[in-house]
Amino acid sequence: MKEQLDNILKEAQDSYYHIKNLKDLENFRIKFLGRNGLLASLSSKFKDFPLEVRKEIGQYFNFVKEEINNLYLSKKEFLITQKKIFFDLSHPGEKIEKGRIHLISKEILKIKKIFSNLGFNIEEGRELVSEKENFDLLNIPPNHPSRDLWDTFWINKKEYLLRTHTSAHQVEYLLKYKPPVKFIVIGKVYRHEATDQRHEMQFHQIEGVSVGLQSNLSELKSVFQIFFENYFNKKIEIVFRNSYFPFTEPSLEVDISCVICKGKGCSLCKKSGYLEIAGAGMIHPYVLQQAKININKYYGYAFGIGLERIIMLKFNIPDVRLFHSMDLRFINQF
Amino acid sequence: MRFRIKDLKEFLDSSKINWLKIVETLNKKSFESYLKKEYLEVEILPNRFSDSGNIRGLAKEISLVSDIRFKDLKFKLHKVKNQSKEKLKLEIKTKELEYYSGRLILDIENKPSPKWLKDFLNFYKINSINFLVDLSNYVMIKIGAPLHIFDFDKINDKKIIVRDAKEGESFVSLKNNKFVLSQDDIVISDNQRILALAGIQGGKYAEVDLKTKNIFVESAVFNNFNIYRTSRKLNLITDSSYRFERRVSIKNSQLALDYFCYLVEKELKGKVIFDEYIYQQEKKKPEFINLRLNNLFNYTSLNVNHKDVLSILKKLNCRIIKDNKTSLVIQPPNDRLDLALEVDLIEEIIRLIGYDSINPTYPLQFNYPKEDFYLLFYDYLRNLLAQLNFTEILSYSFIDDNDIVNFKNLFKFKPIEIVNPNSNIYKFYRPFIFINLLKGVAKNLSFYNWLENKEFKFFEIGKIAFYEKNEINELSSLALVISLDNIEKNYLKIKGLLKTLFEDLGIENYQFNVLEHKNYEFEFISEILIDNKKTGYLLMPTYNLLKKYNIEQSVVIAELNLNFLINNFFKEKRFKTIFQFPAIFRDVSLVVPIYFRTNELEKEIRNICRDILERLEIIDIYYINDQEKSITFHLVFRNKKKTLRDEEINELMDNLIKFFKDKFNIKLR
Repeated sequence: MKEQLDNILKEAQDSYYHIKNLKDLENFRIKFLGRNGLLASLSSKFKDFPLEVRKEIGQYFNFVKEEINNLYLSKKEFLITQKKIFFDLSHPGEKIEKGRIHLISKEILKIKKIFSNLGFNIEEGRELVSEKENFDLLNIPPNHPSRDLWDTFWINKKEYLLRTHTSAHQVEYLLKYKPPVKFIVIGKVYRHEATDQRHEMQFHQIEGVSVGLQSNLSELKSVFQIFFENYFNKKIEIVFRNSYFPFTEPSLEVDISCVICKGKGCSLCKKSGYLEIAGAGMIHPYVLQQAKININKYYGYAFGIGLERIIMLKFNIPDVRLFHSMDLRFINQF
Repeated sequence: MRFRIKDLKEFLDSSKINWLKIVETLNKKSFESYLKKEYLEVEILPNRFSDSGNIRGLAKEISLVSDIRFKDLKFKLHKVKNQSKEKLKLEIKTKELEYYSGRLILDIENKPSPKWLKDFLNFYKINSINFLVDLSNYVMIKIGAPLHIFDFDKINDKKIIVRDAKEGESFVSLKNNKFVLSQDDIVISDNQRILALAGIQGGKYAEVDLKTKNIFVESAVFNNFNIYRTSRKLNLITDSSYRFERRVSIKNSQLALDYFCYLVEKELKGKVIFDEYIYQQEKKKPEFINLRLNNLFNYTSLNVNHKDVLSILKKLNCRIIKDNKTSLVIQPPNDRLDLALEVDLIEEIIRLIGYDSINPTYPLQFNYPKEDFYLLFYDYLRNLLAQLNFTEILSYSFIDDNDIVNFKNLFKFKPIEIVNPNSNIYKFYRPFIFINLLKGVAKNLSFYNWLENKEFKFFEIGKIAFYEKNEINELSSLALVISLDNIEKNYLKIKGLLKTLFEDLGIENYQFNVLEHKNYEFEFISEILIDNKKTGYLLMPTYNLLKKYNIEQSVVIAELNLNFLINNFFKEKRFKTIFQFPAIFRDVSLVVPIYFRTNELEKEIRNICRDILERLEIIDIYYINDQEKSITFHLVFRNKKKTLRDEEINELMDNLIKFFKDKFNIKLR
């Protein structure tokens, strides 16, 4: 009996897909659900079974009937609606508007996470700082040519300026946290420069500082390696070159193996196989002393990375001015 | 700086030099360098310009980082007694002078320069004047110390005075430019006139020309800060000032003078007078540096052995004063002015060993990282606003004069002016962010002029600043801008957005306080009050004002002070009870005069329904004619403690309708 019911259900399900119009539908109803339909004719045989079997079969019978009835009703609904308005499945979906977070903010989030995992505090700092914070405390005295390394926007308050680097907060946060400590300062900096594809008067910088009992060039090399390998999601080689900054000694330029050609030489790295990516060094004892740090006990390293520069490399962006262009044709790509 | 390979070769004791390899080594250990056809392009670091910013110095550096031997100049100077009666008197009347020396050279036969010298100067971008002057420049490029020569016969009273300038005194340069000086500047004068601006440029009065027979040549070391200040103040940057700013060693200064005298004698038959005029500020004791060898390990985690350190120090020409195997007392060579501290020597040793030998080691010291609260709040806002279909824009932090005029009603404080802006459109540091977002709307309206439905929703989070009682007040700010071509829809959207934002922050008590204003620039300006404290603005510029920004559709703006929000409302959310009893809802449409304020109705409804009114929404506004409108409220009721009965609500609704009828004569639709 159960088998017969299953067969009827299967037949109904098969024929359901062949119902094309209301006439087919009516035939379907008569065949399965009608007074003399397949189900009705089966029900007349119930009385032949013993009571307990009859109860069980009855339940299953009702289930099958319900199923078939639902098939009938849903097809009926579909055919009637379709008759009223043509439902075009090829019509494009409705446009759902989407808000967006700027690429810079998205990348800052990733960068913060990597440095946070390495134990760095994350700081913001102020954009308007004193000459003392931006220069003097960093061993860049007034009337010294090393000031020419930064083209500065001065404001109409004596001895104040738009920070030229996030290093301006080194001493401030070293005083706040006391060693051993690691932190990054991430934010906008300003340079009085003519702008072109590679130069901007306003960009973001990541300043990193680590002061402790073993914060040295060897640890710096590994911090760079971890950071860049995570950020570019690639194996990366770090190369230090000799350089000069007034607030570090030794001072370094940091190169990474080219993110495109992995050191073989391509147009991005101008055939050198390496990309200039950061400035770094051991913090000058003068600077540590400004932060009241015992230079016989602690030492530390600091580095500065241009945010736009690494984003441009990662996403193949040709012009740094796009970031602050407010152009949705750029912003909506990411 | 560029260096001709043939000039460098003069100082290098090797017939075969692999320049490609030299450049590669220089790049890692010394300076960024490029090999060009017949010359090197080298970016001498500022702290090394005094020793390496000349041909002899760079050759020395090349020898230091490679295995090529350095070959110094070899010359012999013949000095004669002064036969003439005319003697020079030198007077020093300034404290800004470290070292001064000079010599007389007589009976010179000056003439135009030969080709080799002209070619040399041409390559190093110096104009050829005459043989004497050109030789002094030749020596400067070769040895690094600038010399100055005076026509001895033109010096009044045969007196050379090095002194501080008098306030307001003027100096006429070789190029006939007049400069007004102050006491900070140093000059070389005779007893009447200024002959040269010390360390920067010579003057007209004792100019050396083809007729010059007798000269006084000066080789000095001026205070580098002083030269920098004067040269920047007068905007007069010369080869000489550039070098003095970066310091010149006394050693090079002496060598340059001798070498110049030798050349004049050899090339122009001059007689170099035996007596040398020398002044030296009280001799400083030689600086000794204490180098602790374990610091080399501390800085690099490299094991550097004592023997290697000694061999590097020897190559550097350092004198070892004391050596107890764990630390050394060292006197650095006197032409390496950059070596003054222990760290300077550490750098020197590490770079010569090579940075490539440093291996990475993982950070071992644990630091529990904390993130600044503001940065976390920005991220929260960015996420929320992006969910609400807003797009984040980043703009320049500057505005211009027109912006200041256009929004003068909002500027209660003095804006921060950039003294040296890149352009007049970036003249002020922004006191509001929204002004730039307006420009963003205009820009994108032009990029997207083909769009059917030009609706823009922007936000920016950033710093703003202005003066408050002459102090800088820097704040974090959030600006929101919606632009579409329907004023009312626009306004309601931003109000709705603010509502969602405030609700998410758990802010209940907020108001928009419309400000009276007497201008045609704004449709309205409202202050946003949160807990009765001014937290921002909500405003709509008029069509007129928008036109100035090339925007031809309505824009509505909000800007919020984030410092206040963070300090008071950036908290973790707490769970609130979910009420189990069912809600009952009713729609009621009231017909009111067209000027009737919706919030009046809302206030009264809330007043009458009290606690059991859980939610009130306006689902329709319909303008019946130009006198009347119908407003439909969707009211949701719920009792938190028991199930509400229909009859209770029916009774409440009857009361409500009766109240409106009695008090305002408002009908039901």
